[in-house]
Amino acid sequence: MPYLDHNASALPDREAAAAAARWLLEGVGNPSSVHTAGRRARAALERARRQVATALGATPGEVVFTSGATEALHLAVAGLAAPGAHVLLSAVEHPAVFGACRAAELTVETVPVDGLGRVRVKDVVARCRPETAFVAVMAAQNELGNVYPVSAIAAAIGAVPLIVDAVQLFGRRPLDVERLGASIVVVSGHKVGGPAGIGALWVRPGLCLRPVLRGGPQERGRRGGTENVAGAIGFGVAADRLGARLAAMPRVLALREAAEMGLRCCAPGIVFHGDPQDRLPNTLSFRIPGIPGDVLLAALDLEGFCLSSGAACASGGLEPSPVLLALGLDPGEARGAVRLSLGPETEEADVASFIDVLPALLARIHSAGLTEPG
Amino acid sequence: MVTLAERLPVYLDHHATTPCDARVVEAMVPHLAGTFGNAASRSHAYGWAADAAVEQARDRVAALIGCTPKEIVFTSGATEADNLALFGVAALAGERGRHLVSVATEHKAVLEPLEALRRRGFEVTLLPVPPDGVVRVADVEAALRPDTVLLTVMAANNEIGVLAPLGALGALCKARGVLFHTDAAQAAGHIPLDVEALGIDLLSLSAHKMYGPKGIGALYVRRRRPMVRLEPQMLGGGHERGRRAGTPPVHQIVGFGVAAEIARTEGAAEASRLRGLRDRLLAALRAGLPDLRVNGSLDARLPHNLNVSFPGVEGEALLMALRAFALSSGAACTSATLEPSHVLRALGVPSDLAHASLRFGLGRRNTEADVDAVAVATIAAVRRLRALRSGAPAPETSAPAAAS
Repeated sequence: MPYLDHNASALPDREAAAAAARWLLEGVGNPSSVHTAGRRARAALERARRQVATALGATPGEVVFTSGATEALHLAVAGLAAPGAHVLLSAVEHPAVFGACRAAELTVETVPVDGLGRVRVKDVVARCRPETAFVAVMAAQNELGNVYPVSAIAAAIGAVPLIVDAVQLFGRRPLDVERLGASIVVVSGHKVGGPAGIGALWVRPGLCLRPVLRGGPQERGRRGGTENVAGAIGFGVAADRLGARLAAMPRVLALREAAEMGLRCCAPGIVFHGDPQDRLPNTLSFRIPGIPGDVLLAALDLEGFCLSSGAACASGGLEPSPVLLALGLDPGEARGAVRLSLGPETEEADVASFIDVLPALLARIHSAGLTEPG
Repeated sequence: MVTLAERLPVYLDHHATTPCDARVVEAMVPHLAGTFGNAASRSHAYGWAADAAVEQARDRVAALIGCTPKEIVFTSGATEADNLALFGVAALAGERGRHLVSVATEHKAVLEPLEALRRRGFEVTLLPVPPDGVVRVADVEAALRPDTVLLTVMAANNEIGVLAPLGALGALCKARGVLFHTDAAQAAGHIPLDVEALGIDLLSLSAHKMYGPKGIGALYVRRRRPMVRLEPQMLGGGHERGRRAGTPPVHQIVGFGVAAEIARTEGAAEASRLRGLRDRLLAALRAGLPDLRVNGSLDARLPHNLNVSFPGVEGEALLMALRAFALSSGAACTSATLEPSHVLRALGVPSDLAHASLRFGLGRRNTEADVDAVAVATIAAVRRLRALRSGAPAPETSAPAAAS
């Protein structure tokens, strides 16, 4: 069953899953307990923190574990801005960032993107004010795969903190938080082969964060609650093996290019979304005029192909993607979008069979009268 | 006669956390390693399979506390559930009032959000408890005001295991139109809980306190009579019916579901077994150390908890002497600090006695031999430490046999 939705969730890394499962079976203690069982849990947690820190180019004390990227983004956002504060977000940030700003009652201004979904440094700088509490620009866009110039943005906005959602970039391009220049960088376990339910944020040393989850001194007072030890262990192992994921990316890029070429052949008039220059090697967003995205996805699913329309969190809904609307697509066009996202495990045969099955599916959709005018 | 041949530390700290049941892990592994999928992906079969597993778990967790599945919101744990309940209710309190009532012995996951709300202009009444630790319904009744929005009282205390009179509190809240939240992290799966019978509006759960995985919990939010309105605290994708954003960790939720199912079907028998072990432990300790003091009511108490103070010894030294056992002097989250427990202080336990206390949290793998062994070792250690303190020669380390 070809799985072509790696931006929603990566395939679990076997060793990461095994390490997490081993702890679930054998691990006993609470990391806060001072007895042997507790100290072993603490040691396992701290080892995982070192592994994630190393993968980020950081030191362990700068890494805070959370229940995932959504919580990490909430901690970043609420930690840096008081209610009412002016904050600047790219128009294509993940819904969790917009959600966190709404939860924290912030005054949000968005930085528009161009037709290719690009964020311009000068457009950020022009809107940045002395009182701006933070700027949030993601490292790579989950629906389009666009990679954004976050280092240049960090340098250009000076002392204003930059929050970088690096969930999709992590494991697909090298990431070094030291050189990035951001104040906070957010990553997620299940997007790099680790378990779901664990994420982390890197926090620049000296930055003071108000906790969002209150109720204990865990994570140096930044996040209350008993730590998800097994999840952290799995994330740590996955982070340790990030090099192999990165090394697979040239092959992934070749597969994506093959998919792109195949799509052009069997679907004349196909439109690709996003930045052709600076994009993640694994992501391909497209629409085929006249073919509704949900119809094509359902047809693909019946044939055993797992793709999605964009953000998994929003699929199932009939609302067109706000990201594609931000690119200037009309709602009908945006509803045509399908996202193909590959991973290190994707094989040539997966892409080839996808391209092979497509013409028949498109013909079936046409003959069933499921097309839309356009 | 019991020997102390056991080399591995015997785990007696089940209030801090419980080991995952093997059946729980077995159910989790396929989702952790094989049948992957983002439960929020509705467009493909992997997503559907994940979704079905999550909904089955939701049914099981709901069955444990007698609510409907739609009333269960999965969170990252009880801390998040407590935060969501308190901040979520407070955010929508609006005209109804700005007064919250709770108890001094609550967990920090309740006390810290209450303190944050106090700084935001809410008025918080923290009720004292009598020496037995059981909050008095009359005290609560006297504290409720027309502008009281919420009462939050933990179902069972994490240090002394003392139970709250939930049914009476629930009825009182219903009569006064006050919402009733309870942190049931320590109680759920160990004693029966029925949110309908008890009149509970919001209830926090933790999987890892009932042999499930760490990093997953839930908040029960009543939907009928009354429908509790809650401002979500984490926004993003429309997960958990918009009440909690974030990709649902399917394996964690599945594990929680199995743990809840096991607790529902086996909990009563296990509770009665553990009560027997706990009573045996107490009898043995009392036989050797007649002056020990039990902290909190013995009647209204979790079956697997014992919290005792030993006059004339120092808790840290006692724990050191009992290294062969995984024990604690109180809450795990504060065990690295030397502050005396806020719970024992609230009970009026003098600080030297509070420092000389041990919390025994019994669990599924514990046996009679375990409790006999820890009783023998505790008696010996207390006697030795007392002798050292008084300057008398240390007595023989072999203590009399525990009751058997």
